[in-house]
Amino acid sequence: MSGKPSKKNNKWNDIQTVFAAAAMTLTLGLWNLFAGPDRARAAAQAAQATPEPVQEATEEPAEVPVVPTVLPPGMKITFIGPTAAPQATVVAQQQQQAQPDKKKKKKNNGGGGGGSVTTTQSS
Amino acid sequence: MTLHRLQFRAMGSDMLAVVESEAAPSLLAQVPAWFEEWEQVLSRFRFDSELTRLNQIHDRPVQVSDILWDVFQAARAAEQRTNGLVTPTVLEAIIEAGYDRPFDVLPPLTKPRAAPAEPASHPLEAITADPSARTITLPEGFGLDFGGVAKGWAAHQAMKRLQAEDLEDPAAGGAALTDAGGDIAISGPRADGGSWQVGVADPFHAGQEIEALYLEQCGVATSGKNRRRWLQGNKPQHHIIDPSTSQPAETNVLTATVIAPTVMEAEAAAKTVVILGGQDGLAWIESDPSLAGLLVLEDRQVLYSQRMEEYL
Repeated sequence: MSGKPSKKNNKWNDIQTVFAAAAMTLTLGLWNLFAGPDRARAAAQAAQATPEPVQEATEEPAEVPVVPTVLPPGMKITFIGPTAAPQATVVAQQQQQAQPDKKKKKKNNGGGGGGSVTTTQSS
Repeated sequence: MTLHRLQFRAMGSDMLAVVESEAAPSLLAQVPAWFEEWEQVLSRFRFDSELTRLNQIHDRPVQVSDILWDVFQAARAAEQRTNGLVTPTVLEAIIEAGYDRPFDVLPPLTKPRAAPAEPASHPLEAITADPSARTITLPEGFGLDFGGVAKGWAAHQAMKRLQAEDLEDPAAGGAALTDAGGDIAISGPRADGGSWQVGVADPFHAGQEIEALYLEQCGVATSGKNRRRWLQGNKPQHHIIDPSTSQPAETNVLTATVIAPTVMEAEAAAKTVVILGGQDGLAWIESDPSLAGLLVLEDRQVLYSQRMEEYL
């Protein structure tokens, strides 16, 4: 149990604080005194130095194997919540031309097929 | 006549709804909400979907919604038409192959399973479905994945609803087309009596088409192993499961495009052709007079069924 602070203790604390402040001031003062010339010389050297060319990498970076995340047995990740779906907008297209006649067969070998309403593909 | 187009994203795919009419069709803007409702019932990737809940209950009847019931019936019909090659009971196999989350977030390289599962036989007949009570009972170990059947069903439903609106107002009438990630339902000829031009994507050149099809009332779908594929360890995998092996189908067909009376039939047939392979797949299409097909093989050959000529 700490005793009640006395006037004697307060005085000793003041003395300690004065010593600490004086020590810090002295340290900073000496630091600046001796570090100043070195700093000036380093700045001059840096100004004169020419940058070395960057050496280009000659080797392909090593391929890092893709390792899937392994979950402990019985655990699974569930993704919940609404997904950010793109805004659906109705687009109206006025028909400019008559529909090509069904009888007029047009084979499209590898071309663009630009006239299709849609495309069937595996999904 | 004006083509009114609506593009949006649903079910992990790009969607398109088109109505040809004089006035702006009021129902068109509602199509994304319809797909959202259906996805909430049918998705195996949503932890709170009706399908997910059904897959967690075994050996006791579960009453299901009209939507899930209808799609289950569509899946049954597809299974019968394809002699069991397209079945919704390959959920376990596709998860074993690494497709255990939405494809958008599936890493390109998945971890191989420590102990590959034995091919499990999951016949659809083992599932009890009671039409009067509208219940489905899954045996232990069974799970359903409707996959492309659900997308085809959704495209068909949306097209029928859009077409119904036109029928109510013949003056505004035209035709409707819906495209659910490449599974396309068409209500009939265009307003001027012509056909809809639908391109067939070139699997070797992104953004290009290898053929243009001229279609009226029908469905057309493409299935293939060029999309939704990944590596499991060193093994290339894709999403079309061969039920006889419970593994992704080993096939020389890269993509198969099939035209059928409905988009559900077209989707199931296209998947069947991929599983059967080029020659057998083409022969299978030729055996059904309601189908026409175009197959792109891995060696870049393009095979046409005889009836495909009618649509070129």
